[in-house]
Amino acid sequence: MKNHNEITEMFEIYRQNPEKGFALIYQTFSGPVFRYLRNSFNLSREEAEDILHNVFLPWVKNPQKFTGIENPAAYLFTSARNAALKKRSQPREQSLTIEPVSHGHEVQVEDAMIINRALSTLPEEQKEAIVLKVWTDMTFEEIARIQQCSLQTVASRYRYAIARLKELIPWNR
Amino acid sequence: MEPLSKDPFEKFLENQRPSEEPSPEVFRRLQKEAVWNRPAGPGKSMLSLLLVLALLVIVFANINDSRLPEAVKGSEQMQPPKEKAPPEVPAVIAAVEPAEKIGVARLLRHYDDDFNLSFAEDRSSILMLGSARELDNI
Repeated sequence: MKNHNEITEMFEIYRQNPEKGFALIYQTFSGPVFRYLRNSFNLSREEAEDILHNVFLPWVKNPQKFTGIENPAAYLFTSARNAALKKRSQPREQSLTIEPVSHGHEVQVEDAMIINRALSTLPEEQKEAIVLKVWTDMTFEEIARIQQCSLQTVASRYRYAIARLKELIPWNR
Repeated sequence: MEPLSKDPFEKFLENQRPSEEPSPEVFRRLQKEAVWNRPAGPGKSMLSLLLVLALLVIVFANINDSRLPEAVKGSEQMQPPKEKAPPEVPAVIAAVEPAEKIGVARLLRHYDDDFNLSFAEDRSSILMLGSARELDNI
C-alpha cells in the first residue's frame, strides 16, 4: 500500500475531484480490503465482492460525506470489518474453501495453502492482526482502531499469532 | 510498540502476500451508480422545492379570492335570469253555487226542528235591521 503522504494526497484529490480521486482510492484499497475480507473472515469471493461494493458505494453516491474523515484507510477497513461481521451472523449455505493465496511456482502455491490452513486455525482477531499487519502494512495503532481495542491487545494478539504460525508452518527449509 | 527489525518468519510471511483481486465488475457497478455518472435532471431537492412553490401559488390564489367583495364575487357567478312559467288559468274560475248549497243554509235546514232560524234567510228582516240602524242615527 502507499505511504501516509501519498494516501493523504489521494484523498485531497478525491475532495476536489471525486471521480478522479475515487478511481485512485479504489485502485489502492480495493485489493487490500478484498484480501482482508477473504483471509480474515473466510468469505467466498462473491461475498467479499458484495461487501467491497457496499463499502465503496457511499463513496460514489455521496462524496461530500467523506470530506471530514480523519483516517480514510482505517475507515474503509472498519466499514469492511463491520459488514463482514454482519454478513457472517447471517446463515450461510456453504462452508468455505480458501483458495491458494499466490499463483506461480508450485512451491509457492503449496506454501500458500499451508499458510491458509495454519491461519484458519487461529482465533479470528489474531488472524485479522496478521492479515492487516503483514499483508496490508498497517500499524498497530491503525489495527487497534479497526478492531476497537487497545494497542497492547493488538500487539499481544499479533505475537501469539506469529508464535502459533511458526509452529504450524515449516518455513525454514 | 512496533518491532524495529522484522523477524525472518515475518519476512517469509510477507513474501507469501496474497495477490487475489476483486473482479473488475465491482468497479463497473460502482461507476454506474456514481453521482458523477447520473444524468442531470431535477434531483429530489429540486422536486420538493417545485412542490412547495406550487403549494404557495395555490394558497396565495385562495387568499386573494377570499378578499374579493361579495358583489364582485356575485358578478363572476351571474347567470341569465330564468323565465317563470305563466300561471295556469283554470278552466272555470268559480262556480256559482246556489244559496242552498252554502253551509249555513244546509245547517239550518238540518236543525230546523230544534231551532227556528228561518229569519236568517229572511231578506226582509235584514232590511229591517238596516232600517233600524238608520233610525238610530237620526
